[in-house]
Amino acid sequence: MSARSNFALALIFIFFQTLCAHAENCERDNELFHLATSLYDEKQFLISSIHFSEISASSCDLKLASRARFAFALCMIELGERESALNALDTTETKRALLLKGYLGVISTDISPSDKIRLFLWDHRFESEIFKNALKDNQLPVHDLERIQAKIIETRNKNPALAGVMSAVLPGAGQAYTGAWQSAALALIINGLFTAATLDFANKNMYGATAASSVVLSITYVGNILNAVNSAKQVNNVKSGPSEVELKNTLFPEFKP
Amino acid sequence: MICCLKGLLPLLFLFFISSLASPTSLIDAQFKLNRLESEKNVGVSSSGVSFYQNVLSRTLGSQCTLFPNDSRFTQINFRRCGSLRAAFKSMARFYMEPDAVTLGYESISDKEQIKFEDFPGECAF
Repeated sequence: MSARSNFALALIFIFFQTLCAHAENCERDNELFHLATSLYDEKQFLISSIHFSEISASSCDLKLASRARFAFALCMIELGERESALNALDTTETKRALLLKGYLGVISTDISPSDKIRLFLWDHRFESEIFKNALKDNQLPVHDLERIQAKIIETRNKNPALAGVMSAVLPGAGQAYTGAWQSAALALIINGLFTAATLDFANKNMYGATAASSVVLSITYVGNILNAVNSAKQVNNVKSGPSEVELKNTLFPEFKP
Repeated sequence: MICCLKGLLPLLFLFFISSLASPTSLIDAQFKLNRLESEKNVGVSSSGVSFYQNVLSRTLGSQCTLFPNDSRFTQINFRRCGSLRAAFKSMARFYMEPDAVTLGYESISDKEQIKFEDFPGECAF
């Protein structure tokens, strides 16, 4: 066999070797993507984001890399990393990437009118009238969306402002209104003790102690009002949480890895 | 028989708590906490809180049911929001302690304990 044919055979061997390695890498990326998706479903966002990032860096399958970048952005949103999510979406110019950017508050001019309506509905999910008016004359599943939105409004039945005012009038009353009875008792006892101490020091003309006690009282009193407001917000969020997830899945079915 | 039931009580209690709130990943929670702690210092240093963490907490032990615990929560707020807001917010967080389950905070398992996730939010009230 001549040297030229040997060289040709070697080239063919290298070509097939590369092809096999490439196919193996693609298969590995696909398997990794499935693993990362199942981790995402199990709410392991940091670990799945690492896998998605690895796949997106691989040049094996461009479509899979784009999907992985989108999934990475979803993980970053769950981890509260808005800027990282936007950075990942900047390199992905798919329709759903534009929609996700809109969801993060960056409305692009390329976004379609129907997507704009979906984003508008999501932004106004706590306002019944605006939501119902925006639902008219479009292709969305109106009955489902109306039902879910009504459920959200129905479950968000604690008024944070009322809770704050109640706790301002009587420490602990706002917490009791939200159903946090132990917090209510704690707020009432702590504020009662410091009020009594401040009044006692004032009656005995102990001005330094009165000032110190009233500083602590002001912190415990304002903290009690803030706690009542936060409790009401938390109760609303927890109760409406499942309906909000349902609404998000109905409005944006494409927000999945 | 009664002894066996008594032994099972802590397990039943843990099961009850874990069934109330959906569990989240400790790794994710730790990541969020590290990100918050690495933020730029804009407030004042909280040497009082450091004293509590280094001396008192180690001596007396911690009974905190929330993650991150109150002293770390306060330190982060001191750095991000200044002393006044941090004091108010930490006091509000302290009142929340006994009712973390009732209020439905997400649970995580930290150092063989079930804790409830509550990270510092925006500085504005």
